[in-house]
Amino acid sequence: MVLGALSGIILFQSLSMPAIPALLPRLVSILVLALSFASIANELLFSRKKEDQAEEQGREKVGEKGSISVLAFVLLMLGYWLFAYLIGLLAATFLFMVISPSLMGFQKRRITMAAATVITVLLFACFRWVFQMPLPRGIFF
Amino acid sequence: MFQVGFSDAVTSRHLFLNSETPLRQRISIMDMWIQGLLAVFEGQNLLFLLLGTGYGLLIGALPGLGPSFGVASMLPLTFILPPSTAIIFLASIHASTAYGDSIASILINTPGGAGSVASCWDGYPLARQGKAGFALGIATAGSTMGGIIGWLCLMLVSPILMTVALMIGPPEYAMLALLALSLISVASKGATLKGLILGGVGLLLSFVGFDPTSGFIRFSFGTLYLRDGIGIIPVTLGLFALSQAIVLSTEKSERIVETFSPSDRVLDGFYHAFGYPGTVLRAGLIGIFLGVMPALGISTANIVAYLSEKKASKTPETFGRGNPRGLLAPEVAKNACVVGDLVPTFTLGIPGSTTTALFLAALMLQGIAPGPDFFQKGAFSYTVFMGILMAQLAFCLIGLMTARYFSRVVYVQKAILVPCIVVLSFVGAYGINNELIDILVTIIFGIVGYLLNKYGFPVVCIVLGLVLGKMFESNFHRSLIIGYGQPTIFFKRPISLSILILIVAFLTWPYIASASKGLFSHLIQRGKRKMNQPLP
Repeated sequence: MVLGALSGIILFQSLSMPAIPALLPRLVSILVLALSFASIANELLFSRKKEDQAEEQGREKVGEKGSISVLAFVLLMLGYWLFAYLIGLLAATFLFMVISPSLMGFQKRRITMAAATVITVLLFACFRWVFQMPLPRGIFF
Repeated sequence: MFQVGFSDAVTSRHLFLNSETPLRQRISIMDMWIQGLLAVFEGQNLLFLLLGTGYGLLIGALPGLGPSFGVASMLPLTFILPPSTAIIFLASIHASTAYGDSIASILINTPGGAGSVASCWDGYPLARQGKAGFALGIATAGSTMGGIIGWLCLMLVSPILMTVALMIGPPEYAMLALLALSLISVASKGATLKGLILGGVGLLLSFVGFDPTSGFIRFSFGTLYLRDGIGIIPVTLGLFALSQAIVLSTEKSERIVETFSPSDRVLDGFYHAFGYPGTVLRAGLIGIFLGVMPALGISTANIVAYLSEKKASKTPETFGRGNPRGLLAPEVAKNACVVGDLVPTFTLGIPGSTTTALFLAALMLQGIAPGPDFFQKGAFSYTVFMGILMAQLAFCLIGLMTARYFSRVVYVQKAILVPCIVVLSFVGAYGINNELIDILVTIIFGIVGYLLNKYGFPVVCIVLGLVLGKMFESNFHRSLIIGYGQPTIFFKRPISLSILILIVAFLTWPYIASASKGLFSHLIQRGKRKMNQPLP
């Protein structure tokens, strides 16, 4: 449904474009829309059957706990990206390397700190001497 | 040294050395091969060949991370490398990751990737018998022999496909792009519709930015970032590397109940593997066939090779209990398939698997189109081909020397591994344009990839659509220009029409097959009922 909506937006946008650059986007978005409707119809028609089959097979649904941990991990990655703007990529990498193992339940602090230090130093060395590229500095330092 | 126009030297007869080839040209071709070989041993090429092999072994040995992750994670680095070094680097990662996958399969009974599932079935029992080193030796020899068989196929089949590639024009290339998309969709069993939707979404994403024909800026939504289009690298890193990190972050660290370290000699197994030429040939042919066939990859090859070897054996009951042939066959097939996969990618631009779709992306990033363009870059194709051969020998040598040390990697904690994957992905995404916004794009596609995988969508179709989009669009418009604006051009040319018929056949086949199956079962039921009826 989401993918169908995305193609709907593209189709709507392409209506206000000249003919040649809009030709293929229009064709493809109509095709994706049609396929999305077919997929939804397919799901609606056969979903009952599939649900029964899933129950029979004893397939476990992803629990609430799993969804929360995914959400927490995604938020942590977004935080890493934001902190790269604020405190620079190196410092943000070190912080991420320290925080994320404990979020995943890893308790050995010494190993975490060692891994974080090694990765940060490697990152610095690669950018400085191998790629010879500037690392993004943050607003604060 | 003789110099001939290289555009002439791309046809099939020029890559073969047959008796009709003039002496001058034969010397020139030999010259090209020697140039290719020497180029592989140049400082930068050799360095990246070895680096790629080491990195591939490391990634391969880590459970759950396979060749597609290995290649995707290093795709950004190829951007700053010369074309031949970039492809050699990726080829060495691809080959050694496929080999390294077996380390986890043998030592902890956990496939390193989809391509080494069958390696567990006899590799782990061998390790349980105290023959972990022996099993690693068989895997090393098998993978190397498979890689060399695949390379020979690359040499022999590529020229034949190249003659086809030289005969075709824009309408056929547009149709080939559609064929590649439909083949990958059909190959994702039970998810053809989803695959087609994602292929379409990939194409739509490729339309963002400048139109190749008119230069008109499309779907940028007023942002400067989208004017240049959506980058292949952040999308690829997000879909393959970051989504994998999210999956790993949710998995609980499994306690490995029984582990085996290779205390016996790896070389014994290596020599032992040469005692089964029949197995090597059979599995090699299976690997090549499944590799060259678009959309079938190592995940199928290793299992098919194992099963056929078991069928061919006089003692099938020993399979699953540590039969060396049961380990050798999937290993040979896997690496034959890895190299065989590259044939349709380099010659026609039809990737055989997820990983070769990434190779196609790397070629595009280097400004090299597959097909004739690939073979018309001086000694480039020869250097790449020799590099692929050297990659097989490199992982063999490094594997023999260091397999027992790399095997320790399988015990790395997920809690340490996952942040490393994230950092690697982010740095790769940032490194392309030195823009932090690329990291955000990677995160978005990481989430998209995770959700799509969770709901059974074949993610590779997006990447393929994105990679082939520009090629499809430019060839589509060129075809319309050739055909004076008439779309009938796609039906008038025999090769284009044949490809179109193939696409329709591939797309409708699953439905025809299931319908005919239903009809047959109905007829059989009716026949049975009639037979059970009492005679009058």
